[in-house]
Amino acid sequence: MSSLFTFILFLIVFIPIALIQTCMPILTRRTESFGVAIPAEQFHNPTLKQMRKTYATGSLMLAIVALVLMLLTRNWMPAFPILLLAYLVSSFFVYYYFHRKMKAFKAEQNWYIEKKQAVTVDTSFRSQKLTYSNGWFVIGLCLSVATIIFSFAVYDKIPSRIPMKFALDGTATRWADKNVRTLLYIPIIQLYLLGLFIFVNVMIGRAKAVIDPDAPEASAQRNAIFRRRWSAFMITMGTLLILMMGLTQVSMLFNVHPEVMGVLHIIFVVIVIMGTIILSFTTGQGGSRIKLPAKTNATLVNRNDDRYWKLGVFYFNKEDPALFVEKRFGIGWTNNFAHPLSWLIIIGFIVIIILIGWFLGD
Amino acid sequence: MIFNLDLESEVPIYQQIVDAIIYGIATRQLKPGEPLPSVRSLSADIGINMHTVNKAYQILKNDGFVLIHRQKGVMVNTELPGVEPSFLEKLHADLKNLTAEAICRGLSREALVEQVQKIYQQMMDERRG
Repeated sequence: MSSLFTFILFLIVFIPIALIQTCMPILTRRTESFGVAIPAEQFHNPTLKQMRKTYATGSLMLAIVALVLMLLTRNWMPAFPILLLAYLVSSFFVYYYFHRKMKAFKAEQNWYIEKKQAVTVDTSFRSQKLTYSNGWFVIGLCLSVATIIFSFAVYDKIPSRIPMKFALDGTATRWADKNVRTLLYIPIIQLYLLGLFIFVNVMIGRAKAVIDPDAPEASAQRNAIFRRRWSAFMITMGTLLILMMGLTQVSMLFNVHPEVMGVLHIIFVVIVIMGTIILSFTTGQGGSRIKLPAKTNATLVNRNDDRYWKLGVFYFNKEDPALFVEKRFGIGWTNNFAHPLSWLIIIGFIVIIILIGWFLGD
Repeated sequence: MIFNLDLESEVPIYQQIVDAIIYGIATRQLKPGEPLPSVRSLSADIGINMHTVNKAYQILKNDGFVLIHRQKGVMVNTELPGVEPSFLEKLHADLKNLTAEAICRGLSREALVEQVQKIYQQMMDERRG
């Protein structure tokens, strides 16, 4: 039962990830191909189309291999994370092969000779609403405060030993004595995640605004919609996650049948993953899949800034004061790794989680 | 207002920003009192040093085109500067250089005046529609 559950969860997580990975070339902006900057109209170049097809075939085959391997193993639990990681690493290499190929192809073309490269600015971009208010996170905050209050209000009624660690299906694998610290375990993680989601929402609003000079009005509009949709998604998922953890705490304290929690966890994972897929395919990176009427400006082209993108995925530009930029081959945002504050933020979040672990650990 | 910058151009970037914003004000794409992006966000969106954007804003402020509030940020001045002697001096110097080159290249007086009239008319048309 437990292992079948693991297998089902693997399918639920793996298939959508493989789907997004396989379709990535059509989810990115039209001004990018395998992490290489291209003029928007070259997106329909037959060579690039063929490359996208070959990439998708390769990525799909990789996914099938991972699925077959998963079916062949009897021990589904350690195989789950290992195969998932192995798939992600090997699909990066597939990407990188096409990144190199794309770079070589671009070097042979004269795309930037007749057109002028431009950086486009919309002075009113940031006066519009780009994210939903962080005030929405008050719901999550109330939920985690309620979790704490509830846990201590019923302190005397809780069994003296409470389950601390769970298998994926909800059965407890580690138990701990009831005390203040074990009761704070989940609420503290709730608060940490709340902070993380607020950070992401702020980041979505502040990230660099890249506007395609080829069709600036439509591009700016798409970018604003893209940010608003992800902001709404982050707020909803963050609140749902905190609610989920609160329910887990309550179920732990009262030994609710583990299968009930297992089913709830699966429902939550399905919602997150379906939401991500729908959002990715309807919106695309930077809003690239949102259909809008566009006035095109055939003489200008987006800047060829490949030199700042290491391996096509890591942004490294010392001159740029921007901390967060849109990913090139992917959906969402990444850091400007040449900015010292980027590292400080990443290290900060890691240090906090280590401190929490140390405080809550034995 | 949407404007383009050419980072590879010989014209310094701060000058391109100054020109773009004055053009925006002239054509009313930027209304008096309209907020402009902060130095930080504008330089991050363009991907250039903050000093460059700061320099552009300082020039615009000194010429009276923008106001820089500590709290409200940068905005288009509600009272635009008039025809001051310093502007006439600049106008004279710039026109002198362009006229000199036009004469060297054999452009007639009429053709030169026509160019100025055309540009002036275009901007006034943009302003209305």
